[in-house]
Amino acid sequence: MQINVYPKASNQIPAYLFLFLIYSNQVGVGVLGFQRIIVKETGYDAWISVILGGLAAHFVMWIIGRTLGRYPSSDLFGINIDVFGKGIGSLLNYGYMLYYVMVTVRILRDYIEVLQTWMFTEMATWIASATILGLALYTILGGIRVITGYTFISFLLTIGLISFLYFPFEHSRWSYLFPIANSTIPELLEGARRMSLSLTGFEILYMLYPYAQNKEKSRVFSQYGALLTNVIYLILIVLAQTFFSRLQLEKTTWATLTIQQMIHLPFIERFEMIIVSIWLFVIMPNLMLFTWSVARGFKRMHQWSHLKSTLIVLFVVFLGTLPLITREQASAYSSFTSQVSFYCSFIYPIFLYLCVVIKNSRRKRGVEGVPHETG
Amino acid sequence: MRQGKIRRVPKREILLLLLSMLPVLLISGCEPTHVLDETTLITGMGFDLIKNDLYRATITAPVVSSMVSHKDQIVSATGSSLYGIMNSLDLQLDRRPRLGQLRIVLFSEDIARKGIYPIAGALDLVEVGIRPYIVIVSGNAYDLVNAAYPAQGNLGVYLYYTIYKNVRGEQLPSPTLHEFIRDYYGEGSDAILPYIEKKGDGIKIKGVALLKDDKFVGWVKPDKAFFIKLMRDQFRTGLFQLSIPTKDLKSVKNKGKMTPIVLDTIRSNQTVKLVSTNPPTFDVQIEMSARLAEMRYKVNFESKKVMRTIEREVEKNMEKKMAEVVKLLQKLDVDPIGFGEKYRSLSHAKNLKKEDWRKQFKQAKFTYKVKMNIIRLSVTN
Repeated sequence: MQINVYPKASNQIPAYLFLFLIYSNQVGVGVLGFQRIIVKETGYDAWISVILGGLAAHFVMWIIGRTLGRYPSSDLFGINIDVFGKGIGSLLNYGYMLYYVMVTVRILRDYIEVLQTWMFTEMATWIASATILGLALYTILGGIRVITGYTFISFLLTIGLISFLYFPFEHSRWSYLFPIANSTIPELLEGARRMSLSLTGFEILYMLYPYAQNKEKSRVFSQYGALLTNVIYLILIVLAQTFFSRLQLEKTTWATLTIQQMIHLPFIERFEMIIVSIWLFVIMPNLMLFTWSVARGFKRMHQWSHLKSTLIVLFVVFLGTLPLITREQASAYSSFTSQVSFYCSFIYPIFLYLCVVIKNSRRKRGVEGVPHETG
Repeated sequence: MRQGKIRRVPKREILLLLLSMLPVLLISGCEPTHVLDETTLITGMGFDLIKNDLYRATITAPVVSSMVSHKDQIVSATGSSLYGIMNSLDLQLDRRPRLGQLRIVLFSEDIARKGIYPIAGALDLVEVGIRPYIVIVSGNAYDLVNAAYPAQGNLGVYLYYTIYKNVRGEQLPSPTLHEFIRDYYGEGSDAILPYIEKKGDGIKIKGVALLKDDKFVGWVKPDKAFFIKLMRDQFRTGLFQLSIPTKDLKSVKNKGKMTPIVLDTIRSNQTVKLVSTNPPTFDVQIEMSARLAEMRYKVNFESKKVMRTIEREVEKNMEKKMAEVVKLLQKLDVDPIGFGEKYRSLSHAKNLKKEDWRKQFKQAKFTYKVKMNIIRLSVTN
C-alpha cells in the first residue's frame, strides 16, 4: 500500500472549503441535546466546560495538522501503516474505521429517535434509516467534491436556523450562569470530556488532507471551522443554561429543540418541526463524510472500488441502526460511543504524533531505512 | 463519442436518484395521517378537583362546520391522569382530541392548593409544546369554561389573548408552561400565575396567584403584583397609581390631604445586591423613569422644587409598599421575586436546595432605595 496519495487535480478541494467540511462534520445531531450531559456534570459552569472542550479540539487539530505536515500528502491510513508497519497499522486502520461506523450509527440512530419523538411516532426505524442512507449513497457516489458542495449548503442552513435563536434569548434569566467557577477543576474537565462526542468530526482532516489544494492553508481553515463549531456550541449552551433552570435542563433530552418551541411565527406555530426536518441536511454531511472515509479506508488498503466499499459500509451502518430499539439501549450506546470517541478523536492523534516524531528522529539517525516515497 | 459518454453517466445517476427516493414514498405512505377535519383541536382545558386524585377536565375546541350555529364545543370528562382524561374524552367526541393547539390550561383553586404539578408536569409533552399559558381560576374551572361568552369566539383563544395582551403590556409576568416548570425546578424562585374569575359575559384578571412549589398559597391584587414584577423583571411599560400627601406641594387649589397620582413607567432598572449572607440581607435598588400620567389636584409643574417633592414622595411611598409586599411574601413563605436566585448566584452556596432557601428567606432582611425621575408630563395646568 502506498503511504502517500496524490489525488487528481480535478478531485482536489480548495483550502477555504475545509472550513465548511470541518464545521459540517462536527455539527450534527449532538447539537440538539448535548447541553443536558454537560450540565449534569458541571452544573452552572457548563459553559466553561464547553470552552475547555473547544480548546482541546483546537489543540488536537493542531497536532493532527503537525502530524500530517510531516508527510507530503498522506492520510491516517498511510501514516498508520508507515509508523506501525503493515500488520499493526492495518489493525489500527480497521479500528478507526470501526469507530467511524459506530459514530455514524449513533448519529443516524439519534436522528431517527428525534424523528420518532417529534414527528412520526409510529415510523419504523428501518424505513427512516434506509431513506437517509439511500440519500447518503446518492451523494457519496458523486465523490468528495459533491460532498464538499453539500457541506456548504448544510452550513448555510445551520447558520440560518441559529439566527432564529434570537427569540428564545428574550426569555433568558442570566443569573443561571452564576456563580462562575463554583465547580472543581476535575468536574470541569469531566464536563469537557463529555463534549467529546459532540466535538468529534474534526479528525476527518486526517482523511481529507491529501485532497487539499493548498495543504498549509487547509490546516488554517480547518481551525476556523472548529472555531465556528465552538462558537455555536457556546451560544447553545449559554442559551440552554439561561433558558432552563438547572434541574429542568437535566430532564430535557433535546434542549435545543425544546427551546425552539418558544419561537412562533404568525404562519408557523411549531417552529421546531421545521428544525427537525431541516436538520436532516445538517446530519447528512456527518453520515456522508464518515461513510466516505471508511469506504476510502477499504479502497486504500484493498483497492476495492468506491461503489463496492460504500455499499458495504452503508449496509453495515443500516444493520447497526436496527437493534437499538429502546431509549435505554440508544442512550447506553451513545454514552459508550462517547467514551470511545474521547480516546479515538482526542487521545489517539496525540499518541500518533508522538510515534511519528520518534519514527522521524530514528530515520534521521539512520536507524531505519528508506524514507517514505516522495514526488 | 464524447457526447455519448456524457449521456451514459446521468442515466445511472437518475436511476440512483429514483431508487433513493423510493423510501420517501414508503415513509409518507406508512405514517398514519392526522386529518384536520377528523381532529378536535383542544384550545383550552380547565381542571377541577372532584375528590382526591380524581380530576374533571373541561375542554373547549372550535367547531369548523357551516352546518352548526354554535362554533364552540365544550366537553368534560373525569380521570386521574391526563391520558386517562384524554381517553375518556375520546369516547365523547366524534373527532379525535389532540393537544397540539392547546393555548391555555386552567386550574381551579382547589387543585392549585393541592398542587398542579401532577397535571402540569404531564402536559410537558412534545405534542403540547412549552407555550400554553397556565392560569389559576378563582372558583370552578368547569363553570368558567362552560359559561356562555356571547361576544367571544372560541373560549381558549379568547382567554389566551386576554392573558397574552396583558403579558405584552407588562401587567402580568409571562405564565407559560415552560416558565412554570422552570420556577418549579429552580432552586431560588417560585412561580406566579395569573388569577382569573368570571365576570359578567367575560373574564377578569383578578390579580396574581402566588405558588409555593406547585401549590397555591395566596394571591395579590394587581397593584401589589406591580411591585413583585418591578423587583423581578426589567420593566418596559406599565401604569401604576399611588397616593401622596399634598401638604408640601404648593398647589393652586388644594382640596384633600392626599392626592392620587398615576405614573406611566417608561424605563426601570432594578438591581438586587446581596449585602451579607448570614442572615441574607438584600439591597434592592430601583431606578425608574416615568411619565406623570394623571394627578387629581393640579400643582405648579413648572417649579423644579414641586417636581422634586413629588418625586421624593413617590419614592418614599414606593419603598413602603415594596417593604409591605416582601413582608407578605415572607409571611406566605414564597419567593416569586427570585431573591433566592440572587442568593444562589452571588453567594457561592453550593447545592442550595429550595427547602434550605425557604428557611433562609424567612429571616432575610431587606433595604429599599427607589430613584424616581419624572421625565415627562402628560398633564396640563
